[in-house]
Amino acid sequence: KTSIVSAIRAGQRYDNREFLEVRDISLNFGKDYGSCTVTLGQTRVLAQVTGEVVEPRPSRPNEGKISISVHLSPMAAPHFESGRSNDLVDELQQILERNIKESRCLDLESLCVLAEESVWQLRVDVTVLNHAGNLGDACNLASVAALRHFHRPDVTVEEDGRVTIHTLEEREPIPTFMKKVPVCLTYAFFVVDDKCYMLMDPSEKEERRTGPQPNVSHSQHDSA
Amino acid sequence: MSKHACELNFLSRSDGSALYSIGNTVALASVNGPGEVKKFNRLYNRAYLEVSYSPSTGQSMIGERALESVITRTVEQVILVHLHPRTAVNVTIQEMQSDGLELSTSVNAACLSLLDAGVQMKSTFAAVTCCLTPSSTILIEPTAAEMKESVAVATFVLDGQALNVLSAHQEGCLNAENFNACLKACQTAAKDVFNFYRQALEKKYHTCNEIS
Repeated sequence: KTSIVSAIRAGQRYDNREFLEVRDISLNFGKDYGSCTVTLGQTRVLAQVTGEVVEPRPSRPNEGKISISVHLSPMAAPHFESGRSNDLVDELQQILERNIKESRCLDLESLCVLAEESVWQLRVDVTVLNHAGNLGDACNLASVAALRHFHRPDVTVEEDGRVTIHTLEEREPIPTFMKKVPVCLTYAFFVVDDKCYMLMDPSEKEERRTGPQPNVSHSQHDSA
Repeated sequence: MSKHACELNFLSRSDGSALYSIGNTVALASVNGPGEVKKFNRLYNRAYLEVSYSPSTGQSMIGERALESVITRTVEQVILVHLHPRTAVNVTIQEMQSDGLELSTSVNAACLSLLDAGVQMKSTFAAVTCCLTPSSTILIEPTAAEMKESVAVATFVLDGQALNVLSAHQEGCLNAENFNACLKACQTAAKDVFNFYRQALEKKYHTCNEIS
């Protein structure tokens, strides 16, 4: 702990990054549409998007639905346990819901198949594979990339109201349209010798030293 | 036989990990241990082995629990559990991509991650899946589409020393003659899998030697 603080006092970070430098990011997409693994430094997060046709919410009959769920795999860190919900999961879930659902970046009306009867429900499953700091950014990146990678099967609505879902071989699948792309940036604040230092993309050791940190989510048109 | 690929030490926070793929099926296994065990699970004379399997989407249900129990019973036979009493070895498997070969990919990933973590074992183990088509040909490591058309699917987990069967999982109708033919085919294929393990570990230790 003290070594991190003394490094900051000297104007450096313990892993030789600049204060506002982000770790290397790489995105790997799977063979199936909607699967993306993000590597942010050593943090690894997997996001998988699947879709199914369901009945819409009665209050919003021509809007699709999107549900996001975050899982912390026991492989992510030795103290994680599968099945038990904890504060970190709630925090990550809240960040993702705010960024993706509340920002209305996805056009839910485009997910409607037949008003009041069938709409697409997109389900985003985010699994944290390795916790090396800054899970908020990694989860956000993974979910957004997976959503943009996801293509939904084409549907035809017959005159009598029947809905046929075409397989990927029959008809070209349709990509998901995102009006704005939410970008999440997490900072850690260190108060050292009465001066406040701002570090971007904290690693796990830095996170443990500081308390909960704020993150800013921004999209092209407005900030949230 | 489909192409095997593997990346060791994929996760920095696990004692050992392996990202393993057979064809288009990919599984990530992570091993932590031997380490702390909950009082409830503490065994006085051996280590407690816990395997958990997560699918890529949705909740973990009965199918996943069944897979977990097959993998646990297989791995228990091989790990030298009596060397570490009152500890726990946790194996966590995450399905990354699925094309029908979940069981064999998970088992192989588990073996390589145990080797990566340095957990002591009696021998290595490898799983090979084969299916019997209606025209009585045996296909090794079929795709999901090929499995759908087949009469029966069998997965054998074989040990690295004498290619004995550690566990067998079979669905469909197989007479004794076909069962033995499948077993022989899997044993031959398993030799290639063990060679692949050797190459993967040689690569890992080669790069370690280069650094030091």
